[in-house]
Amino acid sequence: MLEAQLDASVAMFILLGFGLLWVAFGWFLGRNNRSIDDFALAGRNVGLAFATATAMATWITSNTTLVAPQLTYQFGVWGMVGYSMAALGLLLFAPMAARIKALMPHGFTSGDFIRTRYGKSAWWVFMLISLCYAIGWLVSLGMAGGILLSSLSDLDYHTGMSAILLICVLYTLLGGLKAVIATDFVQSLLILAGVLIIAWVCIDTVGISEIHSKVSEWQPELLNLAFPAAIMFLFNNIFFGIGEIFHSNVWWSRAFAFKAGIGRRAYFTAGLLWLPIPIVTGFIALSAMSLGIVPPSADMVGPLVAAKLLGSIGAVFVFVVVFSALASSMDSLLAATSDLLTQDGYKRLLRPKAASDELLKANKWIVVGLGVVTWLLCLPKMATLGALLNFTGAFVASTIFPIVFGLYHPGLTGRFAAAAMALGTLCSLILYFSIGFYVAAISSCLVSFAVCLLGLWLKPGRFDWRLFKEAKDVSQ
Amino acid sequence: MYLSESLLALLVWIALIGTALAPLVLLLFYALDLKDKSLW
Repeated sequence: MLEAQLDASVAMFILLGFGLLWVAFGWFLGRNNRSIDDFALAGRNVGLAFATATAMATWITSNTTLVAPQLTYQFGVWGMVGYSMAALGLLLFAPMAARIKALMPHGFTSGDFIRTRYGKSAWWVFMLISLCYAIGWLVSLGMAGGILLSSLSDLDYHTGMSAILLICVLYTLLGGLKAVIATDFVQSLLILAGVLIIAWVCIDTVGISEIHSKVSEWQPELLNLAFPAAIMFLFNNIFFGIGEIFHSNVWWSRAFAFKAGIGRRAYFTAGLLWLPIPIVTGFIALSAMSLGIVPPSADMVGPLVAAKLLGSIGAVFVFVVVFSALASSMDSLLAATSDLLTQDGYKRLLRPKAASDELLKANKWIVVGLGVVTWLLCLPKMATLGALLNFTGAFVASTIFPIVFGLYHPGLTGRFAAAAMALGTLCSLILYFSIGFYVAAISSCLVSFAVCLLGLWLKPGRFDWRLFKEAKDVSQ
Repeated sequence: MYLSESLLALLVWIALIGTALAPLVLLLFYALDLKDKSLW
């Protein structure tokens, strides 16, 4: 452990205090949950403030606070600008959220959409991609929890990872989506305040001039605007971010949960507000050289710089910020993935006639099960956060065009949508291993797009949009 | 082609101001929703 600022007992005390606070909040908000609609979709009546905050806070993850500095440390200016381009996902999803709510006012999951629009074969491919992504993201969040605590305190990786997972599982279990959304609102305010203070102290203590001069002297490539790998990363990240948002049930479940007419405004505002955050968190990493910090792994650069800048009280502060960022995404992912498994797995495949009470119970057990699986996968620290995250890019970007055509064009058939997702993923996995992570998402998206166009050209279908209205409300 | 100090400063300050606006916008939305009784 390097640059430890907190001893184990202080770190444990903060963890317990925050854990109890969120769990109690979760219980309070979830005490009136009676049906699966209440638990999984917050009663389908979320207003603009909570809608915007939850979209933004969920997208501010451990990756924004840990991976954006890591990428800036590795790719320089394009690392932080490239990461901020992930906001495009939220901005472009805004009109889609309105379309989703209009097409499927009683819909539940992204799986519902794919199954009704494209049929079973595309649904299986989509579910496989969705679950690989969800587990990859959950594991990256769990690992981030462990990395955070081991870099800021005497606690080890396994204690931090286990504690953060346990807290998130408990309050998601008690409060459902309502607790997730309300805690997201508070967490987004905490994160934003924290990021601003750390950046301000960084500018005040080190100074932009000093940072620029040290980077120019020791690692000028980080300021090179024609850094080839970094430019490739920029474009790759755009497609990765869009793919993550377009396909994931995290964002679809919110589109269903927001009040009618709110989705478009909430996602658009959240995208605009999120855009500058990775630049601020990434910039902090550039001061590592001025501060004489050499992180043992690139994903620890953010917390180490913040701890060095703010001292021991600052370490507490940094801990709270990153913990909030982690929790705001982990709870959303637990809730949305358990919805997907409940509706598309338990109900569709095992118990088609299950009533709301039974689904509610199943949903809660699935939250617990997901927590256990994530914990087991996090035990061996298999990859760096960035590597794990970018691996999932190979999967998700293949869903972009099948989703877009599925929502707006009646011509794409299920067979070609399934082929687009499968071939896009396969090709990008080959390129991921043979070239590098920075080509995975872009190649996945392009191959999938080509297959979609081929399908529209060779064998166009004529989907009847009314089928969405006729599809039986899965919550009933 | 390398990023100059002034351009880096401009980028960081714009991002910082944008980030500072975010909590204000969220609190404004919250106040409006609370007033209209449309939080949930």
